[in-house]
Amino acid sequence: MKKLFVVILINIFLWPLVSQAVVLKNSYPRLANYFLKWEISDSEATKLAKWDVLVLDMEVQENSRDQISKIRKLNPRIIILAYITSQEIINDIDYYNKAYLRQDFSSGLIDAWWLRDALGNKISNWPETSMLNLSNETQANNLGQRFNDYLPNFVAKKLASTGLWDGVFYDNVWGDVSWIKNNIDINNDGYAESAAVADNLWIIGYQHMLAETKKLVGPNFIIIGNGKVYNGYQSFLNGMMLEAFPSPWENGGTWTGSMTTYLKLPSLNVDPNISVVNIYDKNQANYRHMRYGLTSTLLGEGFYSYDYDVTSHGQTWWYDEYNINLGMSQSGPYNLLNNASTNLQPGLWRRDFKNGVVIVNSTNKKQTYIFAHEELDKIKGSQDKLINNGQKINYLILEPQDGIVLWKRSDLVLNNPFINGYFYRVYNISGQQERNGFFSYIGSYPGAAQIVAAANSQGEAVATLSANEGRIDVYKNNKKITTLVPYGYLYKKSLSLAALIHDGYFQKIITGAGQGGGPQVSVYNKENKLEYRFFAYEKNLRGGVNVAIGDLNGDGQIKIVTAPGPGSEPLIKVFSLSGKLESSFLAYGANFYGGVNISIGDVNGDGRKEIVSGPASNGGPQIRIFSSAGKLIGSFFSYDKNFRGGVSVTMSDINNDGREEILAGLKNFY
Amino acid sequence: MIKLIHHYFRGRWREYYVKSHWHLVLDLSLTIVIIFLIAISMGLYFFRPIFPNFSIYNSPVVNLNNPPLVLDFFVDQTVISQEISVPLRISFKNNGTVSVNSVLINLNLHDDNFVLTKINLASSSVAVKLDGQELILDKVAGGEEGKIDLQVYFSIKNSSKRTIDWQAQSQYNFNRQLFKATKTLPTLKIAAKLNVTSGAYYTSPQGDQLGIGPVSPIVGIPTNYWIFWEVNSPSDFKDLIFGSRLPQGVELEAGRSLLSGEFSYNSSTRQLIWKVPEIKGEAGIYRLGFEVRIIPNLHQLGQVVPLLDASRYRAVDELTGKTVSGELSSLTSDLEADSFNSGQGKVINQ
Repeated sequence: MKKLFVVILINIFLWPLVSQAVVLKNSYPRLANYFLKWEISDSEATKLAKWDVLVLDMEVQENSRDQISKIRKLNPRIIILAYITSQEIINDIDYYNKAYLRQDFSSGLIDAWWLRDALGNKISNWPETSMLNLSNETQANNLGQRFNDYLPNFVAKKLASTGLWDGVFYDNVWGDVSWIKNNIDINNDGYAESAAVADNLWIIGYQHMLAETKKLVGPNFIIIGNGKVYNGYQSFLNGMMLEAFPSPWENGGTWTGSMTTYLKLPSLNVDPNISVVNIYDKNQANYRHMRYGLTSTLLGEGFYSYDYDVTSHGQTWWYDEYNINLGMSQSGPYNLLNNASTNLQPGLWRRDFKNGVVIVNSTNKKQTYIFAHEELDKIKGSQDKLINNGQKINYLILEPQDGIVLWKRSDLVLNNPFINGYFYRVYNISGQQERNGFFSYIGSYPGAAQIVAAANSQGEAVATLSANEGRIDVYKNNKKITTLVPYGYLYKKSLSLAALIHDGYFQKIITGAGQGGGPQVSVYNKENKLEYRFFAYEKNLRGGVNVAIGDLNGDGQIKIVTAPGPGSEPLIKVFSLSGKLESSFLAYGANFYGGVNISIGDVNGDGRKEIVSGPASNGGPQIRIFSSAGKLIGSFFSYDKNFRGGVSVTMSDINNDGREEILAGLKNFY
Repeated sequence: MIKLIHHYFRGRWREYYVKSHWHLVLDLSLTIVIIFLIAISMGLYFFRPIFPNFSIYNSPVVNLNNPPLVLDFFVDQTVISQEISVPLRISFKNNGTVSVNSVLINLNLHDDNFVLTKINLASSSVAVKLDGQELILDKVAGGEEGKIDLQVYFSIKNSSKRTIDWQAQSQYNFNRQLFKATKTLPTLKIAAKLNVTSGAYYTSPQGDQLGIGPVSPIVGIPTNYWIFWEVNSPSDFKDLIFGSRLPQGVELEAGRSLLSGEFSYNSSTRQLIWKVPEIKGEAGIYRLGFEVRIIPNLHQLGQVVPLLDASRYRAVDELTGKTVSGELSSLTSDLEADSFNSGQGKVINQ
């Protein structure tokens, strides 16, 4: 019983140390913020939650603990690392405010742990700091610890044990020490060691420190180092920060040298690999510099950080490129100037992702590249509008030391109906065009037919509905499997079409008669059998009915949404799947009789679907966005507001950002 | 009656004549004057004097079923163009011996959708006066015949209604009789107008980027443009065939937007064909869009690059059965239809 009690106590004590293994996101870009303020404000916490990895000064643990909790609440998948210098401490730290952990750390240091020269002077590498001796040559304290034991213990007991952190970030992880001063007395014998001896003793001691840390914090607690990459440390580390990329101290100081180091790190480090490329620039708006670092980082698996400079890592600068979801990587880096070679050298480097590509010009010359039968979209940004102007491109001119992030174009609307051959503009909820418009057209189906392309979980269209002249052809893997005739063989007018889709399968198909038909809704099951019909509006109306289907509230309850065709007031109705009216609301003024086109989709990424409407005729092309309860939450004109020809609406997550874009379609694009 | 007269005069005898015989003389004198006046009036009524050059009185007999003036109307062309004018010939013949004067001819339309806007006199063998929609023949002498050629113009309110039913009404006085006649003229069918356009774009009229690549085109770098063929008409057509050819150096790309009909490309002949079996007047615009690519070479430096040869089309007007055809000019990288990029078609060097 006593043993059991002891085991439970030990488990409780060690619980924070047995942290859960972090799972890295598999989409890019991966972003890191090297934010070394000792306190974090509430607004800073909100902003910092957008990054994937945060390196926060350890004092935040004491000074802004609630903000760490807030950041985790806003971004549960974020990785937060505690910053601590590995080999130095600020002089006179006791006189600093809010330096609780440094003061605590300092209080345990003994005089024998300072790194000194042969004259006995403390060595300093950074203004107002003194270095500590990480070798095994120092005296032990009364607990039998050398400094390279003391530091890991401090990290384990004071930082890791709090459960606030996912890992530790050791600054100044050097594989040598002799470069600081040429008369270092590393073994405290009053004589300077040669550089080789000093460096060797330093390395041995440092490896001990890292090994101790690993042992004390457990395998899931991340350890990252910052400094010139030394291979002998890497097996203890999850990654390195390459500060001031390409830093002069790293592998020859060139882009090629730093990239060589960066790209080989995953093979040297332990999983999960978290390396950070940091670029700093006092000019926040030096977009070219920012892009150069970002796109270089994207050639590998690391996280990117861009901030002010080495004296001030504490910005929340956010760039247009950070908003892009490139998805998973689909290739390694290859050089467009050298037959897609993967041997690192100055060149025009490209890497492909599911949703886009990145290209870096690491040469000293402007480069022009023509894509062979490939069309890509520039980002539509608000910062560097000359570069991120949203243009569709088939060639690229890239300045030296510049990079660019490009979208792969997708002109296929998935999982929602579109009209074959219509021109669609792509809008977000605010009415801003997210990317260039496009003709959504599949040549194997009739022009102007309503099409629903059902995508599987990989985003591939595997089943299709094509509604034209009163018939619906159902295709599976491009093979027609049946034809539905919802309103009889004599009915040859248009149809409204919608489908409930799961992993490429049509769970329900619903249709509404088009203009000239009554407002009858037909519901088919997944075997393509007619389940039932109902009139959504007064059955003598002949404007038809437009339909949509989906789980509006995220509660698993499927609803049918209808809107009338021309000839009656613009009353949108929400029905249960059994055809029972649950709610209704007017999409436009009651006097508007032009008919309403509708679609449903999650435009704001909140997990609920919004209802989006557009006039079917005789009204300006005003898109309106309603909550599932019918509350107006947005509106905008999708084309020239004087246009009166009606606008078709549908939804699709064209840019894979987790929010569905609103697609406003016209039969004629002007 | 005699008794009545006798009774009347016996009364006057007793009352007046006995008293003074001058009363009797006065009554007799007045009676004689009245009888004389009646006789003169009757004589004048039945008097038919014959004066030279006063012929109205020469044709005292008129057959109302066969009036002396015969008018016929001829419309050779019953399918007329969208400009809506038609040549109308009126032939006339006075079968009588006496002139017919002031013959009024009026053209009437049955449908408010059409308005007769003017009549132009092309030629006439008699004096004709035009007064708006009315035509007045001053005089058609006895035995005279001839013809009048007119051009009649209409305007149309709703161009989807394309048949004109109309009549000619004539009237004149002859021998104190008003002669009126109405003749139904051949129904006119207005040839439907087929609006056909062909244009090359890099940017849509509302500012959407359609093409890709540099504008102006750059030597060695591909530029893609979109070409749109559009057809529309307020009337129904069938069997539209729209064709053209890609010049050498222009390649057809995958981008397409086909709302109706079939599109084909023969890479050997470089022929593009768009066929639409039916064009419904109420359906709006029928459109084909396709994407083409050029990669300018050094020889084209400073020149505008041809994108599409002249296009030809034909279609059959459902109402009239007539074939409408035409030709559209070739398209170049100068993008005349593209308000954003027009005039930027000359190839430049990088």
